[in-house]
Amino acid sequence: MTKNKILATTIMGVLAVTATSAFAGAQYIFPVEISDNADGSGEADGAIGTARHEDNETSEIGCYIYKYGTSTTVRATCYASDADGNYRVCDTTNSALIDIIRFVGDGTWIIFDWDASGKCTSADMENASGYEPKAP
Amino acid sequence: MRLHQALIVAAVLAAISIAFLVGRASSSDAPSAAPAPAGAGAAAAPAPLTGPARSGHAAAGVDRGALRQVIREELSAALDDRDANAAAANEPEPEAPTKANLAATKRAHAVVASARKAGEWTKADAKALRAEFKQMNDAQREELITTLFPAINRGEIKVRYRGRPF
Repeated sequence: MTKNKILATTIMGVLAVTATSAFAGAQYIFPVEISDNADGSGEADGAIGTARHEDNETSEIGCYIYKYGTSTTVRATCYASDADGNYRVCDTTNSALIDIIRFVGDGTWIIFDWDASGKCTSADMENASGYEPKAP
Repeated sequence: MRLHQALIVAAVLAAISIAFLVGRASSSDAPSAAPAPAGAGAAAAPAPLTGPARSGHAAAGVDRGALRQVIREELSAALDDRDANAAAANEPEPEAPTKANLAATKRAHAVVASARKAGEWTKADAKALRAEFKQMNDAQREELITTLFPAINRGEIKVRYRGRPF
């Protein structure tokens, strides 16, 4: 390969990389954060994809919905653990909150609040292109 | 037919009947009321219930607008009652405690008490609790969750694995 061909290939490669990164679109990074209040209530937030890719072994955030046995009540639980391993959790049977929790997907930014009794008092889920998918 | 529906139909029929009877009574009064001369007799006539008179009926002391308003309010109240009763009817009946779920609840509370003593929540605890949960009723689950979750949130019980609490 001549010097010119090598130079041309290098330049094309650089241009391709530059062009790709220039049009990547908005990307949001939201690691898991926990805010505690003195009365035992608090708030946790974080994006599922960001939590999965954080450089530690403790970060995670998620919600699940369940109904056991003959119960007619559907329950949901949201939980989060930050980089320091602080773990927070809340439970709800509120159908409006459960409807929102059902919105959780692969790249969701989750925010939830709890009260002193461990009940969820709010749930806020956002799915957007800017949140990195959790895979791999 | 449901009791609430029957009550609403009865209320509507009663309202219509009252309106009809009052309307007839007013109509029969109207001719004598209309030509009444001004003077002491006219001044003694009862005033309309509300607002300006729209017809001769007001002279007899009955205002159609007021009557409509009363009927509207009664119907609205009846519908509200029906909605409230329907919502109450959709509430699940509390499950009665059984020997089996009482035993499961006792074991579940023992798991939580043990975790509180150890200051940690393990995967084995989560698995044990999930198994007991399936045999407990809603009230029993509620009581257990409102014991365990605040203790975790206050840091009295540390979750020692990654993933859901149970």
